[in-house]
Amino acid sequence: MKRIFLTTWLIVLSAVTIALYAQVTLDVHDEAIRTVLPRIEQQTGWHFFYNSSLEGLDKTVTVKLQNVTLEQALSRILSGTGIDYKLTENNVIVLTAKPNPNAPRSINGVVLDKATNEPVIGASVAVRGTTIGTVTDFDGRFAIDAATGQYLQVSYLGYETYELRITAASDSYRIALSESTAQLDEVVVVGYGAQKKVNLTGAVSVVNQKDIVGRPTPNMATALQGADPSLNITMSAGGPGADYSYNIRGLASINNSSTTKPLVLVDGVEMELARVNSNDIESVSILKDASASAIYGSKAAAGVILVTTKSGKEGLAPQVTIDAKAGWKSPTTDHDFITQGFWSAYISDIFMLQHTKTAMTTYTDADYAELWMRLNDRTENPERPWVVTQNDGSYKYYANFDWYNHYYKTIRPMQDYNISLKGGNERINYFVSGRYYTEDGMIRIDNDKWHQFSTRAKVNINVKPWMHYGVNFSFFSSRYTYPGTTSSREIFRVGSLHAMAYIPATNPDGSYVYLNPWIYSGQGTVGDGMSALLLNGKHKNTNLNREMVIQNSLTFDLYKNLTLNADYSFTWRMKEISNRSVKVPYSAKEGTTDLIENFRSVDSYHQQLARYQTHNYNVYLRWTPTWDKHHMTLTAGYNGEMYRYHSLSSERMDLMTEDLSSFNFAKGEVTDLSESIKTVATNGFFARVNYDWAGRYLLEVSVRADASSRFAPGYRWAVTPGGSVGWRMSEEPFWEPIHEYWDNAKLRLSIGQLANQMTGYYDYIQSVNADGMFTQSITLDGTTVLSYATEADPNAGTLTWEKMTTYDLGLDLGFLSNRLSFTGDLYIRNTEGMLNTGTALPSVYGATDPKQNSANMSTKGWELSVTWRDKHRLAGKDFKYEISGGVGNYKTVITKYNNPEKLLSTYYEGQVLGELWGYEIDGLFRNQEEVDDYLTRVDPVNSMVYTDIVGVLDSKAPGLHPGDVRYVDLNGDGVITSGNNTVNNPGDRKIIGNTLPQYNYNFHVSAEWYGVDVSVYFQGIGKRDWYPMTEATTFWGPYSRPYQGFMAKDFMNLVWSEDNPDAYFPRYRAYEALGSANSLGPANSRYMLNVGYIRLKNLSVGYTLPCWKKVFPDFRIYFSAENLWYWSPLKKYCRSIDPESAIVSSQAITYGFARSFTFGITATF
Amino acid sequence: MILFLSVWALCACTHESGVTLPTFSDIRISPAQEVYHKGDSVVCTIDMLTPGDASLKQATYWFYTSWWGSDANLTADFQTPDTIEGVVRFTSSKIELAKEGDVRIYFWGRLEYPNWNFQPVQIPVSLKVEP
Repeated sequence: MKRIFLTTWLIVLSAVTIALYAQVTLDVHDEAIRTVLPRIEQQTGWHFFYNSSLEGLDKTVTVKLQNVTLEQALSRILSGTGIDYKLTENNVIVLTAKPNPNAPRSINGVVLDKATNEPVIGASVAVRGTTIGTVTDFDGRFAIDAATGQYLQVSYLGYETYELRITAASDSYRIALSESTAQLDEVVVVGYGAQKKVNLTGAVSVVNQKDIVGRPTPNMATALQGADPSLNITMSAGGPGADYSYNIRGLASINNSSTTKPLVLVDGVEMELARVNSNDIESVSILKDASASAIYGSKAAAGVILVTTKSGKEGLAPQVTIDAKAGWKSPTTDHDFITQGFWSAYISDIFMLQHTKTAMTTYTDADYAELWMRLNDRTENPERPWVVTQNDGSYKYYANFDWYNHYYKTIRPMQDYNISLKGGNERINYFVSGRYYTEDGMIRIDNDKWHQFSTRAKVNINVKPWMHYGVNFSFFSSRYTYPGTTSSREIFRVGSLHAMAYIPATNPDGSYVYLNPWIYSGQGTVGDGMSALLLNGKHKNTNLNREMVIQNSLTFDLYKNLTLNADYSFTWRMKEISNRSVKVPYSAKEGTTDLIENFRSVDSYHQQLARYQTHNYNVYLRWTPTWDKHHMTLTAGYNGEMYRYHSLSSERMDLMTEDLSSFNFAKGEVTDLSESIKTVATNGFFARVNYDWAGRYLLEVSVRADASSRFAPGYRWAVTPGGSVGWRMSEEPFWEPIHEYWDNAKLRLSIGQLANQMTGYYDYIQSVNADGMFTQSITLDGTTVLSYATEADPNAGTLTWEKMTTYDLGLDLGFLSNRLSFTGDLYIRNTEGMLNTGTALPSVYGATDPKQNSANMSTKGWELSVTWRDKHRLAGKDFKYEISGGVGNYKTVITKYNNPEKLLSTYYEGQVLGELWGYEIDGLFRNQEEVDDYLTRVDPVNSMVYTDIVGVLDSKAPGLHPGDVRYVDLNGDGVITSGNNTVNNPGDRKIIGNTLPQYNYNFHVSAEWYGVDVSVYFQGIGKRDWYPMTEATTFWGPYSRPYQGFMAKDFMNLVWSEDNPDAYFPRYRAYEALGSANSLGPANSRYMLNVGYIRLKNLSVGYTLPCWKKVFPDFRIYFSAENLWYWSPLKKYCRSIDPESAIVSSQAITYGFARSFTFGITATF
Repeated sequence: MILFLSVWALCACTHESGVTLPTFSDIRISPAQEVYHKGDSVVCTIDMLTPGDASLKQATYWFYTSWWGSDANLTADFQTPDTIEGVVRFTSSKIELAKEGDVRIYFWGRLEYPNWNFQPVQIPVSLKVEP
């Protein structure tokens, strides 16, 4: 072994020696190195070994060498070529490329929490200005290729971003991240800019991104519900694509409540919340007071919701996020309705027999025996069929049919897929996302379906150091297909009528049940035909919505702290509604078929196309000078908008086929061909100054001048100023002793004015109505058709803007390193000049009094929110948690209205908005003595509320009886009436409640530990009064219509009887709740209900898997449920009406509200 | 588990209706035969053994057969009881055995107690009917 080693050593030594002493002589001129090398080989006996493609070999050299050593010759020739050499044994010279000190090399390191020294898992590590990036693993470690002189950017949510320069001296780094002081540095998006939250002087709420993103809701409107106490979002129904209404701090005007709504701007462009993908959201700011909103002018009268979507950012390596979830929806309410034919028939008959002498059914005792014997037959027993064919071929029904489950699904699937890509370098950053969402509707037969697709692409380019270009494109498309007549709501309204459990949906031969002689003297139309219509499956409806928004923006850095911003956006929206209506077959006798023809426009095809286009322009300058402790931001610019609406509607009868939806297959009369065009233009100029001194004294002043084409020339302009001041007491020197535990204290005061242009499009112009030319043609001699047009009532040409002035006093506090924070606001909003019928004109005027800006109202309210967030070490890991809650309330009073008589049929001065006038009921008559005593004081015959009880002469039991409701004769005049329906003479009525929501609140708890995250989010309304009106059939059951099919199984437990004198409902009697002249028709104190509620809006439990960190830095599996649970006082008497459904309508007939259960994954790589 | 079973056992002992229902004898067929033939006529009787809860507001009783259900012309055979020597007895009308095979004759009752608490009585008897 030694010998071998020695021999080897001698060989190497001799080779080196030869090399050192070999002599080289060269004289070459502009010759390639590749050709010089053989000469050296000839002179020295050494041989070169190299890759022929080695870079530098073709470089030319000019050298003159005389008897130099081999090493000297090689150094000279290869100098500056990037080629290195190495002399080896056996006289071989190996040529290789020289290592580049600036070439990327592998850099590794670990990222730690500075405070705890714990590894930070999933932190983003990127090479600045490149697309190279990675994330830290479970131990906080990373490896990345970077060159000396490049910068590494390390960032993680909740920490300050850290940058370090790669040096030649080290390939390994230890990086300690400091926790972010985001509480103080948090930036809030405000009108035409952003401000530090601590410097805000207006009333602005920020909705936490994590409270919205990832929720299993179809759109952002549902996700925002209850997110802030000031924001009232009311869903119109629970179905897919349901519309919604919303306001900030209550209604801003009594006019056009549907259009006078907060302005929603998504990246500066007006959009509907329902068409925004909540997964795209970066932040949401709610501008609540006029000082914050004033800069937006005419459309901001009801407040502003600013939505900012996500963007790419410099230094962010391409990052893909996938979120996929699937689950199901089910009703929020109980639907355990009576499905036993006996009870269905029995209840309707006893209720009807107390109303008239005729029962609802025509069933005999023998028929009732048949029903009784089938009482517990969940399915048909061969001994006891549910349909018996009579001798004349007609059918008699003894079923136990479950109509609710016939119509509706209780479990329906939903799926939601999201993908996004973002990244960027110093020149360009980008964010691209896409979403597909689908859910089945709850209509079981001919199932309704919702499909939704949306995408967003956002690119920002630094064209020059002083010029930045941005393009933001979004597209939304939804398609809702549903059966039934023109509205799916119609199924919910009429589907249960005459749909009694003793009648099935089909006859033994499969024909559809509709009209039959065993109900309502043969006039009962089962489900008003809706069941037969659905089973037939030929009525088809489609609602299509498409929206595209493209925004181009340019920002020029003109000078130090001075920028010019210009953007143009174009919004295009299309809505298409098509309805096909056919004749539906049914059978009342074996072997016969008849057709249902009383649906709307039966045997027709109808289509409506609407197109909306908006052009929006903004140009504004922004200057942010700073000197000493003075900080100022000046913003001034122009905003213009042009809007055009165009719709076409057509309908044609006589379908050639029931399977295709096209006008080509309708050959009959054209029953509708109408067009509508509306245009609006607005121009606005705005300016705002923000100033602070040392972050201690804050001032904001803004002004906007708007002109709108909705008003006549001379009345088009409105100037709306706003101003606010703030004092951060915590920045004063005297605060220093307590600063350690009381970090922030700010007092805010603002005043501002806004103007509302949401009147009609052309209210100031007297219009000519040409409808009569088409639809109301008349004939003079029976043959000659005379088309005509009508002139509308004259308008007041002086109509102008409604104006809202808001005063806001706010207080922001932060304690214990801002772990505990508090925000409170008191506000007053005065709305003046609301459009209303103005001064009454003499009757000789001959037309309706024109509208004028003549009504005022005032809203006073308050809001509070408290947040506690902290973290502790628990079992060696950080346990982070946050508890927050908010509550707000307001009251609106009409302060001026042209109603000197104070009629209760309209608004009046002093009226509290939403107030509910009603009678007082102090109980039910327990016995005949109480009835007799009452009759000595009150005359029921002349009392409006007892009209039906005493007036239906063929009733089995006319007159007042034990069990009837006892109205209180408040004014002691011996009759129960509504007086002359004025405030001064309301009869026996008084204010019994208020139908507007009060005490809007939310409560949120979230925690995170060991990769497990839990979030619980409650939302609710403290109080909202509701009186179930005439058609609230689900609540009243047979008290409304005795043929209402959906009745809770325990309904009769609430009904008065001699055995149950303390019952909730009075003596059973049909139609008592139908119509204001009946005993339950008018609003009264006994049956007015509080539909306030608390709802577990969202529950999410997730786990971030540590094991896949190398592939997926962030891989989370989760369960998320929406609307999981609710409680409401309403539940005591009715479990089948969701309180939100009652809020939407006095009838509580809506598409069912749903809760959703989803399981999903989120992966980022 | 023991606690659960105990509670379940206690609950199981209480009648769902909350009232004590009357009890009845078996149905007696006259003439009594092992096998009947299609077209035979029978009369059924049944005795009430105990009257049940006194809160009973109304009771309706009838006889019925397994083949009447699909025949629109055949309806429940309502009966009011006769009290004979202190025995409350229900006697059916003459029932013609119109179906072959194993058929059933039922004694049905609908008992109406307060608070809409309606309870059923269903007592069947089987007969073999040959062609």
